[in-house]
Amino acid sequence: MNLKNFSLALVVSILSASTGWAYKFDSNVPEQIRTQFVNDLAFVNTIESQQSSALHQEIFGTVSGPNYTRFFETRVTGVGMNSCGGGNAVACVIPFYDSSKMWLTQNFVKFSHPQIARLMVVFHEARHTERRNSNFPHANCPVPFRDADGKDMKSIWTGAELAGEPACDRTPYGSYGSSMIMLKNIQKFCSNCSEKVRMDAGIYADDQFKRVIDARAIDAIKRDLYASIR
Amino acid sequence: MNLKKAAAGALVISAAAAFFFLSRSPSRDSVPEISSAPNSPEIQIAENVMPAVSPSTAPPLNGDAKSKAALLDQILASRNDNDPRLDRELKILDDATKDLFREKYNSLAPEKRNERGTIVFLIGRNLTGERDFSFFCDVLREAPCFSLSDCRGNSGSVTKEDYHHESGEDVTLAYPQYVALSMLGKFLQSSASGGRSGLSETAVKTLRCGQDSRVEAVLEKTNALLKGISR
Repeated sequence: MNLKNFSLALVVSILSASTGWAYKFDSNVPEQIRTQFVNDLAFVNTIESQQSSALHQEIFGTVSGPNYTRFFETRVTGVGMNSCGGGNAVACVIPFYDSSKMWLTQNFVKFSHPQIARLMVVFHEARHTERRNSNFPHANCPVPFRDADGKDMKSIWTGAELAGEPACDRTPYGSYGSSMIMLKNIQKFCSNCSEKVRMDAGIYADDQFKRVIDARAIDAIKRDLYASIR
Repeated sequence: MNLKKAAAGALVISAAAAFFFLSRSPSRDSVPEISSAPNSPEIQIAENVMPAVSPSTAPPLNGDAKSKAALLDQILASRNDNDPRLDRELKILDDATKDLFREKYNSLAPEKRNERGTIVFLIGRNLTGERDFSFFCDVLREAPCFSLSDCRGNSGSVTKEDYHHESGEDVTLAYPQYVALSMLGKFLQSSASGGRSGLSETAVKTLRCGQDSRVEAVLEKTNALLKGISR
């Protein structure tokens, strides 16, 4: 082997050695939550597909379990317990405290969410760990914030309007956009997911899409994933 | 010569760094470790955690309704929505099984949104008679679930953080209804393309039950589906 090839091999070794760190649980994470979390990510790691959309390729690569696992494990190095501000949160990231740590609440197991909905939250939060992207902060939802039928977007259960709240995204690459792109790709292209998982992925992705508010971002996602709907 | 020595030195340092990182990096296949909080004993997970029953080793079912109900209970308890038996042993349901599943649905606490929605999904793949559509109508007309902690509860515990996440929670609160609408939509699509046309009128009547929902999102989805049918 000549000097050039040897140094290239060393560079590759160093790069590959610096990736692939597994996340660590704090000791106070209850076993039930740990089990659920590990099982959910184990499911994600099995996902297979022959196709993926262009936006998915940009964010995750192809629709494949190892790609999702790599995405997660290169962003989240620790998992702990936190109230996440109280209320109904299932998980959160607190960037000013620890940008690469994910916090779970008791709601992760207490609430009866479909499995793909839990994963949507986990991958949504994983996006918030990215310091190089300023943790992908949310945009304020517009005022007024109306749906396609001109009705005010408001909570199904609080009745409170989302207008003006920091609960939207202007980019398809943010937490709402990236997690809905992931789920929509699973719905459309996963070849070994159950029919229920695929249905659920579509239901939750379509709903998350409403939080993307920039016209160009909406158009990009529609062209990427909803080709028959403009 | 000096350049070659410098390059060789850099290579030695790089090699040392590579060996250092390689020896420290955990295997991707390793089980996640638990780090101890201050003053707490370290805890190690001894083995990978897996669902109690592996789908590939479970005994085959003889098609009995009670066996299928027991299987459903097992899958729901595992919280693994990707269990392949959902699309195998529980794909085709006879009337006796559907009766048992409807009983199960009604016995579940309303807060069990995923469990209820799973039953709606399974029956929704087997819409063959009046009892099935009547059940779907009841699901669509159900009272709103206001909280995943207690459907009868109020939203008093809502915080600003909830706005951030609540799109997913909104869906889960109405999940059985969303599933019912999704399955009715698929049924009508397959009727339009030539299958099961005899029940399509019943399916449309059932869909209209969504217009009685007090959940605005359910009402909107119902109207969108009805509009799509009338085109």
